[in-house]
Amino acid sequence: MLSRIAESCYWIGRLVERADYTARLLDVHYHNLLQNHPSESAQLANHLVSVMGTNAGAPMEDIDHAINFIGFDPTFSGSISDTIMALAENAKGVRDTIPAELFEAIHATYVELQNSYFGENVYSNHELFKWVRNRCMLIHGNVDETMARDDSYHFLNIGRCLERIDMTARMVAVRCAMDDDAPGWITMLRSCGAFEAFMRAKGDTHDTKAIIEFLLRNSCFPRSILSSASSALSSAQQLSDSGEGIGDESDPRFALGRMCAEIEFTSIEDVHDNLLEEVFLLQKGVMGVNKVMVDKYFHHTNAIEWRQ
Amino acid sequence: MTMTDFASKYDTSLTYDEMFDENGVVRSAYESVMKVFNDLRLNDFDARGQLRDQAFKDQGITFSYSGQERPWPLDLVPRIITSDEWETIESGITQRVAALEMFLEDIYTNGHILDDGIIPRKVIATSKHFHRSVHGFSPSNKVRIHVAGVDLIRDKNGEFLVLEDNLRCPSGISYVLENRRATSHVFPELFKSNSIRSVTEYPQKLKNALIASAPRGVENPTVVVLTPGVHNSAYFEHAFLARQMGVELVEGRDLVVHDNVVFMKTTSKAKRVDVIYRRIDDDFIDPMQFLPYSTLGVAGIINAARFGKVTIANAVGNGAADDKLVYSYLPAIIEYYLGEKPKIKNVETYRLDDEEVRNFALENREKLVFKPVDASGGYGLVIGPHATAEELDTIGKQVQADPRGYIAQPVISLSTSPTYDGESISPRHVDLRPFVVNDGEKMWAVPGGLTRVALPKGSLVVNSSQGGGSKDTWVLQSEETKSQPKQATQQIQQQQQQQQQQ
Repeated sequence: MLSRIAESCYWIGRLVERADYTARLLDVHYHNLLQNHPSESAQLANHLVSVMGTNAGAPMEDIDHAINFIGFDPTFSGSISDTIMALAENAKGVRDTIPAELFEAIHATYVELQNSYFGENVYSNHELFKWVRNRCMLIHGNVDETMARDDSYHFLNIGRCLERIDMTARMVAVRCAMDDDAPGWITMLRSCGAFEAFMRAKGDTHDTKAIIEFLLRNSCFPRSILSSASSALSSAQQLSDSGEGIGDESDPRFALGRMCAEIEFTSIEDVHDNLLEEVFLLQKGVMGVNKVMVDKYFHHTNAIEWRQ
Repeated sequence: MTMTDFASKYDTSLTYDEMFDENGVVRSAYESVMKVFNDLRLNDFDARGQLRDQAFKDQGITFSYSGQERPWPLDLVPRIITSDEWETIESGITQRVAALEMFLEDIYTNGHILDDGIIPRKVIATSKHFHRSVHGFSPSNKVRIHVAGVDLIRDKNGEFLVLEDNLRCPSGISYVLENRRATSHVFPELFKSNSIRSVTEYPQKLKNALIASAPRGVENPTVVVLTPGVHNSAYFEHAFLARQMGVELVEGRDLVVHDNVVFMKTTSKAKRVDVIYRRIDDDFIDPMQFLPYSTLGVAGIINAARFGKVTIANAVGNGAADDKLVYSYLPAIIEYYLGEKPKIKNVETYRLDDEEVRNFALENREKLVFKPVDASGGYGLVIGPHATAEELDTIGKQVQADPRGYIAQPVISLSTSPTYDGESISPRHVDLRPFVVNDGEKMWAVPGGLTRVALPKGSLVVNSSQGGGSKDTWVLQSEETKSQPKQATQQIQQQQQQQQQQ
């Protein structure tokens, strides 16, 4: 398939996950802050902005400031509104390839966000974030139910799996900077959509290592880092020419396979004791796979430059 | 109309009001709430109420009233308890539950308190909820009251009094959690300038208490929540707690007792159950021991408990201690087991099984409240000043026919709290049900509890089964309980800033 199409599908995957997780991050932390630590508003605000990979140019005054920035600021490329706009742009570019229902699910999200007056009323923050999550679920549903499992699907899947790993790592990073008692971990589980699954599997919210292990490598939970990495790996398998072996750093299966193995066989003690570094390594890993994807599949998309 | 208009028309002359003092001035704990309301128009307030109702409907958070499913009634004006007030409440209710635990252990084993004549033996023997089938053994960690709901009211002087203890299947905690969540969704401004103690720990605390009560020697006990089923009015809470604790929600028909061990019927083999958090009344829980036609329970479950192979939480037979006649002996019970005076007083109670007292009460029946000793949900209540001549006549006959079955109390004018009735915000009577969890070593009370509101004007009946509503209940942080913010790690910021987002 065309490199340009492949890259757009990949980015659709990444952007949907990004919008979903960002909405969850803001929703869960905002309401947790309100209910439990209203005096820490500025501190949390700055954390959230920094884990989103930016510094907003100036320190945040309070949580509303952070929500406006991370949610809607047009100058911040990770903001929800910017992410959804980019999502719609990518979808337009592949409109012929993806199912019509999927295109509509994406495009209507963009249109509705443009037309709404969300953000004007502070009490509708929750409604807005819930709406974003529901739209993302609708998009996922359309992908899973109506897309043929051809290359376009696999590029999309790799994109969403990588973003999922990255965002989950960021959620853990937010948690790392907070107090050591249990409610912070519960908030983090909720922001990954993992709370109830964790309760059914392990159930003890005071067991930090169990929580880390669950998010890192529980194979039953579809949003665990290992599940995401494995899913990306199997999509990468589908994309490769069947004759090729893996032992080549320029192959995404190499990086993904190594990531899976490291996750599966690492000691949870080590992870727990060096949580921030592990988070950083995961994000680096994602960046590495991204680079390989670009080099192997997408570099043809660079605009042609004419030289004198 | 803005919200401040309501303050000027608000009548505080008849009761102790939670929000306004006797001069109509806002109490200091409510000042920041008042500030938020000052900027609000009434139809704004309405809009948030609609959002709340829609959210409750969507999530199926409802309560059955008169056969209809309605969105759980939550009033948006919070009820605030200062940290000092809470300290009093917390020490009072944990004292009470501690004494009641010892009382239940005593009457279901040796009966020393009865031998010592502190409470007449016949009071226990004639209590409908004293069950001989659970006499003679103790639960594995001696805990019988895993969760208690102690109902409190406030009199005209603002003093808290215990109205009743609920030691069997006290309900309402799910609404406490959902009320907090819903209020923070539709009224986030209210939370910004208040430091409120969190309630979200409850499911984990309950789970820990249940696990601690498992039969001895069991590793990784299996806990279940036993529900009568989807048609029960409190089903939402059963499912909520099961989900929050990460345990199975079972009905009677999912369980079977074999060789005095309780098993769950699963798709693989039968799985042993160690602790059952049951939300089924004693009468229905075991057709072999109690009502034989009950299909909600599990045959043989009492025997399994007797053999120590399963823990039933709350224990069967607790009703003997929340009998309203026994309630009247609580001060003596606390003194007997703990050597202390009650930290929170009872409401004055007339024991109608005493002939002289009974005659006095019946002569003054239009001034008193009559209550069946073992009813719940506000049923069977006759409030003298509000009753018709016919009702007063009937209650007189019922009391004469079964004096042990009733008690009487003076009418207390419960405290009021500003409540929205669809047109304006005006005073409505409220009570408070805090919840205490006992894990065998410590008692833990969830900060606040369920504030129930009698919605019809002037009504004193707050139970939701009678059309009552509720309020989000806040306990403000004291300086010690405020958590200290941790320093933001430079590490995160540096690392994250190195990441380039494409």
